[in-house]
Amino acid sequence: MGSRRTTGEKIFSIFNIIFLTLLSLVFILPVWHVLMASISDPDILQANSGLALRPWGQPTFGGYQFVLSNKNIIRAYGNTIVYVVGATAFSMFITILAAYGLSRKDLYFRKPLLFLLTFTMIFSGGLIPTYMVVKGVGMIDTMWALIIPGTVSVYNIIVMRTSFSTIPDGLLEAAKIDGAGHLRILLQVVLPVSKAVLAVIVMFYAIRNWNAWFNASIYLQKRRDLFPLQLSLREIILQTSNNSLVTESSDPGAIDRYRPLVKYSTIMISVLPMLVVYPFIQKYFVSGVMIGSIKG
Amino acid sequence: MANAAVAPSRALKDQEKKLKRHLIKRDFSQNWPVYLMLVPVVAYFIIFHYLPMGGLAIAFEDFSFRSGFFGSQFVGFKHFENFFSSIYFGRLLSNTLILSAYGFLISFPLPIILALLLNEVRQPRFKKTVQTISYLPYFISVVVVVGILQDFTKSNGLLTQLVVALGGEGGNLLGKPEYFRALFIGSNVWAHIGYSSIIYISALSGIDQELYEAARIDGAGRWKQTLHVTLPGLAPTIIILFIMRLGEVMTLDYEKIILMYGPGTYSTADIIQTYVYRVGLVNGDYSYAAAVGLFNSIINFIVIFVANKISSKVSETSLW
Amino acid sequence: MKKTCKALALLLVLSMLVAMVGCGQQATPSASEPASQNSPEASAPEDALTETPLPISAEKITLTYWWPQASDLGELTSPNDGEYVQALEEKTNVHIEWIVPADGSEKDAYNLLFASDDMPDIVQQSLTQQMVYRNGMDAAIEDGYFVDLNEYKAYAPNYFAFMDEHPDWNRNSLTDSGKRYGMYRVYDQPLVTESGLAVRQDFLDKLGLDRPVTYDDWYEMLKGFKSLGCSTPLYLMSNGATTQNEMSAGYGVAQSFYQENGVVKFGPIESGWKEYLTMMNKWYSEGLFDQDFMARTGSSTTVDTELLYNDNIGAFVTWTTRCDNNYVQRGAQNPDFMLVGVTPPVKAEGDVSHLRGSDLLTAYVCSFSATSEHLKEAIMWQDYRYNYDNAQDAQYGLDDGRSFNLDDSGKRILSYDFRYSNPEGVSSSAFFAKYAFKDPPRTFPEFQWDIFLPLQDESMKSWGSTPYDWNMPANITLTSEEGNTFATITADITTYVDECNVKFITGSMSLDEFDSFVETIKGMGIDDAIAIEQAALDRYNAR
Repeated sequence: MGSRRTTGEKIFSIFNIIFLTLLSLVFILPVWHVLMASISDPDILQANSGLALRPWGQPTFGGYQFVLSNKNIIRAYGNTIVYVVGATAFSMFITILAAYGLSRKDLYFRKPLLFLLTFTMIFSGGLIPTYMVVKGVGMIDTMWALIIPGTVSVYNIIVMRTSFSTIPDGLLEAAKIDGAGHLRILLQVVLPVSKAVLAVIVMFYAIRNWNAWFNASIYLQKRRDLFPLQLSLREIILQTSNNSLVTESSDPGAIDRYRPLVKYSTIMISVLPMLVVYPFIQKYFVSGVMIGSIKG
Repeated sequence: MANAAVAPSRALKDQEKKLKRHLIKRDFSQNWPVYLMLVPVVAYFIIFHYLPMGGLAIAFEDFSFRSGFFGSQFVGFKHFENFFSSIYFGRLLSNTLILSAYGFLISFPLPIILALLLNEVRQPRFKKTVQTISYLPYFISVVVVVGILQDFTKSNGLLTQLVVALGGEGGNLLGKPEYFRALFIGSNVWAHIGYSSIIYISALSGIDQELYEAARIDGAGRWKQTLHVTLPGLAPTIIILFIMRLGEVMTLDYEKIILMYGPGTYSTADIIQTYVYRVGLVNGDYSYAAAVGLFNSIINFIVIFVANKISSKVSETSLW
Repeated sequence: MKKTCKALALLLVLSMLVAMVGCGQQATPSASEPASQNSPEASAPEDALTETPLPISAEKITLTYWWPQASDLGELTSPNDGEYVQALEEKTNVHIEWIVPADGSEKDAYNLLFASDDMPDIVQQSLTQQMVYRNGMDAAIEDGYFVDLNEYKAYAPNYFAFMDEHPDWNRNSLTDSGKRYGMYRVYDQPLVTESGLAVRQDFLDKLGLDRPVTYDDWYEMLKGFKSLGCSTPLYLMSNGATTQNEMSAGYGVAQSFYQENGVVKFGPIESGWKEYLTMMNKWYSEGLFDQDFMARTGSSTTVDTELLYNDNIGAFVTWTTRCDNNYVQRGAQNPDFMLVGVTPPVKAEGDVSHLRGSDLLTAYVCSFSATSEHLKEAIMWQDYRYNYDNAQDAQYGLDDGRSFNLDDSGKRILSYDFRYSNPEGVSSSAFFAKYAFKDPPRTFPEFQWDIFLPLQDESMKSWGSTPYDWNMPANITLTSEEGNTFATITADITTYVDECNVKFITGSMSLDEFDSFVETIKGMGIDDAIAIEQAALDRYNAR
């Protein structure tokens, strides 16, 4: 830092900082806009179309009140938590087992097994055959349909396997000499030294499951009460009901006034937990992602 | 002469076989717990990935649930022929390939550039703040991202106003085919750039500081240092990630497209997978959809196979 | 590598076999089940009911009801939260488990019903959304999914009594082969179409214009609206038309199939469609209609309320109940907001248009699962909804003095105030779900007429004043083979037409290309589809 810097470098630095500041605004402003819009006066909000840097009119929490009194959303919220926890736990189980097995260099069938897994990354049966298998195993319209099928990522297995295979052989040998079996080696040696990569992959899975909506729309045909949050969000944010052709279509009357607020409030409520959590877990990103992606 | 050559090779083969059997035996006696651990893994993949591949057989039938797999009429390649002669075939294929290629070409280098820019920042707290902020969009779900995008691209939306201010035509941006790819890839970049840059930032911090010192002594400015120290230091990471990303070049987020597109934008937005969704699930033509889906898998396979071949030739690293 | 490939091939073949065996086993037995299970029961000579026995079941039973109307729920979580449905459960001793698919995924969900092993006992299918078994109504019965209601006439006294009294409805509820696919939603009185084009009367007054009749009048009017600062003078669906073709009727074309004196035609390949697109292209470029139309979802009656409530929409398709000043109650900012229905525009004064919303609107049909454990009860329960008193409750709610009042003759009149300014804070969309039932199978259309405001009445009359004889009848039926071919052909064509409509209107495709557009559609097999519709129409007319 104490080094001499040329004028060109100084100018570059200034521009760089300005650019990065603007970029940060690009990341933040859309979310900020939604937050401010969600507490704006609905009438003034509708009349304006610019960026909301602060709430328009008298701040109101009418939108939030409506959303929080909506049982559908609360229920979907609870379901999503079950899905995120359940699916993440299940996929971690499979991922760890697969990664450990495939990281054993002395395994005779390692290559074909690895191929068996990676092949699924590029070739798949597609929507309909998969649906029929999920139906065949009796998971349609159950929570299992969102916890088990399609939740394990081969990519994550490879990342974890790579990380496991960087563990010094000496460590494993020492455990072996102590008489430890494979299960004990995995639990007491491999996992404790791989905390960072485990954290990263847990987070990968958690985010993935938090975001998922499509499988739910196919696998949960009859169980509205099992809908995850994202599917309810889709109904509220993206879908202006198109099935009201029948007779006078419904719209929420008095609540109409709050409709845009409801939209923004719902977005905020769905984003909030992640926004609160992520600054704390982001440091794992940095330590973990690196380990995982060194090719073994 | 010929016999003489064959005999020893046969003996060799027998020996090889014996050795192999021996190796396998030893492997099992030593590693059976590992194999046991792999049983659930293999079972999972066979049930949820390979069984559906078997289900692709319906692509060759006029499948109906009532008649089942055996009862449905076998029609050979009818559905494939229909698809190849459909007016959508060319468009779907090119949309799929173009969107994949653009997505890759744009979203691959940008995180590297962001990492390099951040690397030049001399104020650690500023750097940290920008980094933290850049991860934020990664935590916002696709449904919400599309929701915000819809809001911003209305004819009086924020983004539309920006485009108009820059001299573009107004209107609903999401409804215009010419904007679709930009919006799709742009929103992907917005959501993922910060997160994708992490790995490069880590790699950058791992570069030996003495190399910079040496370069400085040689009189290299920052630009030269970047060119001769930073980039070569980053190269291995870039190559590895390049190959890994190539492996998923064809996995477009069709669920996001389903949320974003409409009849007005089909001409650029409709890809094979979204077409499969519409034909199969919305219209209930399961066999035709399975045929189109199978075709997509084959294209996918070819692209990755070629990519892998090239990368293993060029860099001696490959996906498998 | 080679070995792994071989192994993989083997695995693939194996998995195919397993998949076939696994799924084959499930599918085969169920195909034969329904016939053996239910037919003897049906033919068993039992005394036909003359009225529904209450309770329907001595023991509490649960029926599943597939109800693709998520948007009618408002803030309720299930129709069981509603007073009427609760009372109905008490009376009949039948608990209903409502299956409500995700809003926007109803069509997918419907198709997958046929893949699932347990079809809901009662399946409500929206006919306006083309929810019919892919291979046709007869096929659904032949394939053993649904029962032919004719065989269960004994359990449906109310429905069949209604059909006996109303031959028009009866004709519409049969398939060509005389089968009954299910119970159709009916109107107790001849209906006059409930929806049509409406314009802002207060805007017209401001501009000093008469209600528009011709396209030229419309052009002047929309320009006037625009001068008032209205950003979206005309609001349309994403394909640039309206659901019931009101805007293109004056050019004598529909956006899809229609009939001209018994001859089936497909609108987009007719020259009238080109004229229509030419006009819309002009209007679009002058900013006279919705610049965001291509991104709208839903039918033409689902208007963007954000725009509407801020005086940004001048003309759109709406319901009679929304005319007059109804939108002021709903949240419109302008207290002078006044809406009136107008007839579809025509080329010259004195011309007659032949397309609009039908008066005989069979919006949905409820079919009964052939594999239902409680088939008889399901039919009796659904049939009870056609019982006059019960249907009145479903329409008006349970309590005199709350959701309705009695007039001097003892007739129920819906309470306008209770509905639009509900003291319990229930929104007008959840109103029916909460106190009564939204769109009951036996509807009393006068529930709206009785409380009509002056311009609502006028709107209904003007919408009813033009004929709709070019509409395709809603209930023409296709044979299994026809159904399959028709679905395959039209799926691609519909996409193509929707897409090109947008391009023609926005100008990204020149109207000079219209002829090649028509050629493409012909190349996609439209003539075969027209022939199928023609055959079905001929059969319908011969019923």
